[in-house]
Amino acid sequence: MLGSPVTDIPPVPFSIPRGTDAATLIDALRGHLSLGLREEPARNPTLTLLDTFDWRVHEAGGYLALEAAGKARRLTWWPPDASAALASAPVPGLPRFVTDLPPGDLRERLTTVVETRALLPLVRLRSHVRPFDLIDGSEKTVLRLTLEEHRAEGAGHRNGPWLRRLRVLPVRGYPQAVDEVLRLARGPLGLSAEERPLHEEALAAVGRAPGDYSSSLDFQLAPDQRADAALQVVLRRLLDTALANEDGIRRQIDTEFLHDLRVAVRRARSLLGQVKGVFPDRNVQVLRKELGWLGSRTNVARDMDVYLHALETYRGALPSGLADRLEPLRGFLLEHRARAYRDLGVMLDSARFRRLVHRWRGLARRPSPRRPTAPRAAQPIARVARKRIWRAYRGVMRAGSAIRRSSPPRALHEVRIACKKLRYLMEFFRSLFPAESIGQLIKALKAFQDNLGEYQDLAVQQDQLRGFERAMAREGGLPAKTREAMERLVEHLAGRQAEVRQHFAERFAEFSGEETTGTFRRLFRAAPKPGEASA
Amino acid sequence: MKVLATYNIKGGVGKTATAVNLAWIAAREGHKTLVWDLDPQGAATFYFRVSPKVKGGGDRLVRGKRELDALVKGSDYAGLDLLPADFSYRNLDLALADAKRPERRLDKLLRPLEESYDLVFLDCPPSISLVSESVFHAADALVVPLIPTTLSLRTYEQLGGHLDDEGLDRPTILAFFSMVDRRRRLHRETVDELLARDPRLLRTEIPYSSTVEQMGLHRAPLGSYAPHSPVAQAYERLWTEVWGRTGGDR
Repeated sequence: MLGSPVTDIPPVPFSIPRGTDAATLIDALRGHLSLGLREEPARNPTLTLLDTFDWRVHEAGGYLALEAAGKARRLTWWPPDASAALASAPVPGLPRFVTDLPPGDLRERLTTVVETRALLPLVRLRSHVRPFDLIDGSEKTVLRLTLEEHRAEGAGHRNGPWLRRLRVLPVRGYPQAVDEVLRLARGPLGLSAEERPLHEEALAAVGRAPGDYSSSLDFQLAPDQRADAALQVVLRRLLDTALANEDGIRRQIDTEFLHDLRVAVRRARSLLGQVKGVFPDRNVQVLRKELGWLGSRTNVARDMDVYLHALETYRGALPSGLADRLEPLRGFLLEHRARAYRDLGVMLDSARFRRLVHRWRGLARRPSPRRPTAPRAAQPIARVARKRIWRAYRGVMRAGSAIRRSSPPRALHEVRIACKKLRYLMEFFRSLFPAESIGQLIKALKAFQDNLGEYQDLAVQQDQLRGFERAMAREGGLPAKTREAMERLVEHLAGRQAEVRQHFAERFAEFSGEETTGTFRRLFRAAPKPGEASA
Repeated sequence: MKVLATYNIKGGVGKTATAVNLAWIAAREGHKTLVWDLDPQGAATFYFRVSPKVKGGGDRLVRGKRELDALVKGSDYAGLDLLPADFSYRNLDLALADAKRPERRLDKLLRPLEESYDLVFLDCPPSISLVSESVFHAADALVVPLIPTTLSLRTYEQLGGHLDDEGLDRPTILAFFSMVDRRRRLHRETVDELLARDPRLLRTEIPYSSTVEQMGLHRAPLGSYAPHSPVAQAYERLWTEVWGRTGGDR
């Protein structure tokens, strides 16, 4: 190797203390510098930070900012230290989806991260930026400084305090200038390094923090925690998740709000159904029934979301002449989607929904009784979790082993349900077991589930498309060519389903292989000895 | 990473002005760009106000003892860096002669820059030498300014002939007329006749202009002090043509 790639030099930001004014700071700089200081025209840009509701850009690294200067708008993906743009593109205004962006690098890279989620404006920063060049004897710029004032404005929030920064922007190849200015800033100017990046400071000013919403189950349970208290941690998180998505569903921001709500509801229902004897039976039964109701009330809206999204794939599966014939289906879906979301709004406004939330919260928040009536309430959670997971695992193995070449689709559906139950339990109680081992098991299970899930999806899609055909005919909107296209689609899906079915045995053999089986046994089968659970 | 070399066997034809101005435009359009000033006279280095000094000189550089990374200087323009010239480059030929496979040397030195730059401009000294041989191997295209005089055109033909003799299918030669004075009949007739006859020639011509000469006073690319001048506009068109002929955003 003859050389390493040229690396970008990150800027060094300093916070300016409240009492120090800009003029004093500039004078002090001029007084101490061996280099010339030249002020460039000031800029007054506005910066809007965007991310998805579940912080996908933040999770991928960095932040997304729309800069408005005059009439120009530019969307840029910055790394956390804002050193050099990862990707950037001019835009006409705030984009809502990645599909609103001009084709190019930024759109391509964002698409894999953001997918179908909406980009939400989180906070707006109004800025006043005074750039300075430090110049040598040839008037060559050897370093840049910006003196910045920013103020955060968020929807429904008072304006944040002025955030003031001195940013040192090194020019490649002039390390001495950087040394000199950093020494000055820390010494005579009395500045301290910025504590947290400006974009995080701005978010904090409007009461947000990166990652303050996540649908993932990343909580820590203690193995010897009482089972009822541990389940409450899970139930609280699931309730928070469900409620956090309510507003996005009402405003139809994107399809994933409804999806996340449904998953939270399904998880809660599965938990209550599988881990018995921890709460009083009566409370659990009523809540489970109501969660079932809530889930079923969201089915139509989710189906419409899913099929509208699938339309592009469907079009691709058809010869080009027929693809356009699916347009009446799009119309049908859009119309029914609008209706379904209206119904969702009604449901969310209903007294029944409010009672459900009240009940859910009641169970999740009630203080643990000292002498519980439920038999397993006071048992250590690790023991309860281990037993339930082992039981669910055996359920999967039993159902999976029973599958033959001739088994009906219903039998495969049962394997899939068994897998789902197991998956939920493992995810709820993940923190109670060695991270690497349980991570591997979840991965193995997921691979198996993918096969089953695809098989089931393909079966459901055929039924659904037939159902749509009948409904469209009833509503008088099914041209003969559209029927033909949809029939072709059903055939195509049936073909794919048969293909996927072929792989079942292989996938199950992988899942029931020695290593995975051994790890399941080791982690969940043996009766726990004291202190072993956390090992 | 695309490597473009501004080159002509003959000197004083506007090579450096071409490298500096095209690099400036390319960087402004968002391409991470590096100018490597290979000419010991260091004109490009002067235009960017950088002092012409490479620690250890061209000798150590060629032998791979110095990493290019440490030698790069940021210009005054975003996305545009410079690898400065050094007076010792006058002996670059001798240094190359000592290297293994000298004609591949520059290419090899440039490869680690792949991750950092979209474009590299090599501003080459006039003449055919080991340095230019090495440039021919490293460059995707030679951007060749031609003054519309008989002597200048002969060197263009020499260059084409030379590359043919070497059996190189790369680099592409992108020749264009430079320092054209349309008031002079010889210029006018030569340009018009050759453009009509040779479709490989770029269509843009850069007019003779004192605004270009002022680059030495301003020590800056044209676009930064006279962006609306006809000659700055001509460089914009030239860049569009060069970029298109080298495959654009492919």
